[in-house]
Amino acid sequence: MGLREVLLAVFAFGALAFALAVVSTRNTVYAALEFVAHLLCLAALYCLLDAPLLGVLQVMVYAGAIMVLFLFAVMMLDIQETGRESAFQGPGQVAGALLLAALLFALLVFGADRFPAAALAPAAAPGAPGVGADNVVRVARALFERGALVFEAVGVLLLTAVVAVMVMAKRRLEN
Amino acid sequence: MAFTVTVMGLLIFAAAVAANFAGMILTSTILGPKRRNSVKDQPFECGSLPVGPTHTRFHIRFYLTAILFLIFDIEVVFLYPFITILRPELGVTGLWIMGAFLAVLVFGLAYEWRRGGMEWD
Repeated sequence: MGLREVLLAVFAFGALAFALAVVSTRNTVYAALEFVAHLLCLAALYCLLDAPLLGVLQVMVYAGAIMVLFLFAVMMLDIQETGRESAFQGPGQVAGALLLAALLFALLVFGADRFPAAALAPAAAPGAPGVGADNVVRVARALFERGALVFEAVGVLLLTAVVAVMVMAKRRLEN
Repeated sequence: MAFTVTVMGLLIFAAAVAANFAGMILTSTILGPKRRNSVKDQPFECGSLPVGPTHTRFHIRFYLTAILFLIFDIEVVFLYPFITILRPELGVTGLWIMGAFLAVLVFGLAYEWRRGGMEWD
């Protein structure tokens, strides 16, 4: 077991632990921060699997922008800490959840047993085309050489979004 | 080998950051004088007495700021792949492509400014 596999296991465990923390924490702001930690673990997994662009985008878009939006929503709605009662209502839900968890676990065990190498090995040898840093370069080429016009159209789309946000926000304020 | 070197470098850096962080807190905890009283235990509000709970609702106007941040954050996403091929491949053409993209968004920023999106009232 090499260093890569050890780190994959550490971050996979971290992602799982933080995901569990998100659904079990009562305070919504703490849950949002645990979700950020979960997303950072996922980003580390992407980087370890030789997809650095996806890792960086995960941090910038999900851990950055989307989570800021979540936190804003939580802080504006003033969601109080919910009661201490169990998340499960009745024995049927507990049995159903346990059954689903067992099924998922069995699926993972048999799946990992069948495809152990494919699940953990990097996509190709380091330095091969499309792997690691070359991954970013290829996406950049596709975006800025072949798809420059589409890229400019994305700019116009974002402009439309800015204008739409302003029009909707201002209309609501004036009313 | 290169992967191990990179990861070890990252781990050493992370350990140095953690040690620095823990060291600063520990040093101030050990060396700092502590004379606690009820006034000192209150949340610090620039010398004023606290007037209410700290966990209050944010004003809905901040939502506009959040949405606009989201849009401009998406814009930054394109800059990362762009800089990787700017000098070796794109050159001046690349600058024009990105310049046009940014100009469109600066136009959006100007519109937002003019409509009063950054003003409180």
